[in-house]
Amino acid sequence: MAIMKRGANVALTREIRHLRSIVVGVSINAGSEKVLTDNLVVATILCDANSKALSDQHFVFFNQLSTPDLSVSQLEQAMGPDLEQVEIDLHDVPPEVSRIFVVIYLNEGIAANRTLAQLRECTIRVLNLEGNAELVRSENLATGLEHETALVLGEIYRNGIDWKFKVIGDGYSTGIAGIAADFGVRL
Amino acid sequence: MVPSNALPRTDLPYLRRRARPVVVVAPAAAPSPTAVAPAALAPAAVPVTAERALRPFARTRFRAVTALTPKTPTVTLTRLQSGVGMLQIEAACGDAVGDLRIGCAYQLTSGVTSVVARTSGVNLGPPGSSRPVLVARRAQFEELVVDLAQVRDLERLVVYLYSESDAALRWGGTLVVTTFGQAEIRLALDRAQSTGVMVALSVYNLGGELVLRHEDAEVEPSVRDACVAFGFDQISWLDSRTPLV
Repeated sequence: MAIMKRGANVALTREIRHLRSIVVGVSINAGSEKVLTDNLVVATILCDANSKALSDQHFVFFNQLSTPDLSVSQLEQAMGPDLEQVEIDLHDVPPEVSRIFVVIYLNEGIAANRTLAQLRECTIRVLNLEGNAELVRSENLATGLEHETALVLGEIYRNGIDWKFKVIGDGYSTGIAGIAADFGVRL
Repeated sequence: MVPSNALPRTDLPYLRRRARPVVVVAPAAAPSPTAVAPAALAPAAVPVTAERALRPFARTRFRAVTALTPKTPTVTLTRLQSGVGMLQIEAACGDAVGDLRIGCAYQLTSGVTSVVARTSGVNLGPPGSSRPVLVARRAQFEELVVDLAQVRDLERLVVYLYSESDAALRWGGTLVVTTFGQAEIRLALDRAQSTGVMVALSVYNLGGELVLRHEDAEVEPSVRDACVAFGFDQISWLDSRTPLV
């Protein structure tokens, strides 16, 4: 299994020619910080070539589990050790979607303020949906975080006729509002 | 990298059973060879799109103010507006109104039903929860807050307003609902002076979208009666205002 550092990328469909669908898993270790775990939300944003969301319906999270075309779906309950899992049918992703970002954020609700710096571990991994084999996994993206309340974990993006995966690990101290502003999502 | 004889993934039954929506394309009507009198022309059939089927109510506009009135009583939040951050419900009223207080009766998908009201001593819903779905508190005004990270647990709620001392209120001011993205939904709290309980707003969770409805109903004489009038008849009460928890 390959461990990828921030900025590293891998050519998924060029390495595995028959790869049709993948599962993106996000796992965390928050120790005893249950409030932190309770308020963590994983979201997937389907974007055009300019990294802008196609529409509000292309923001997949617990309250909108699929895109309208069902090419990207978040499981209601993740299997295995992941906090959340997102299935992506690479062949069915609409052609206007160039980049698919996976993010994690702290919901700014009733609970007392927390930051992602309290996470001990946060990783993103990619599995082959067919067979459930883990293909790649990121390094621990929780290291170096300070005041961030949202984090872009990685992206799956088109490269010609192929799909690639890249580990990002960029934090936002402005939370989901900052991510929404950057990716053109209207909250 | 991956063995070609890997077994198919069988641990995801939820999505395996999902059917993709069937796209029905109506055949284009052939042009009529005969002339038709204008009076005989029926209005063109409007195809029922998924957009229309899923969105029967008015929407809020991004970062805009939407007024709910008796003529336009409902608005439906998007799934993002219904699931990100928190929903703040404020009773923006001046002192001239009187000792106005806010509360709400709620029902969770778990079946739990009760009341949240600061002056009733029950400011968390469910009561005593370490992770409440609803909180009643006072900031600039009396307010209720819904934790939208738990919106899937919420079935419905109604917001009511009343006098703490049971005195007559000189109704006025505005109930303001604010989403995380700063969309505002406002409804006027104008009524003749009275001692009754005003049920101002109901919120229903319809498949992940919160539907807000201007109720504008006055119920005499108590909070308990107002709750029962809106179907919250499973709540046990200590008195006419305080739920048994």
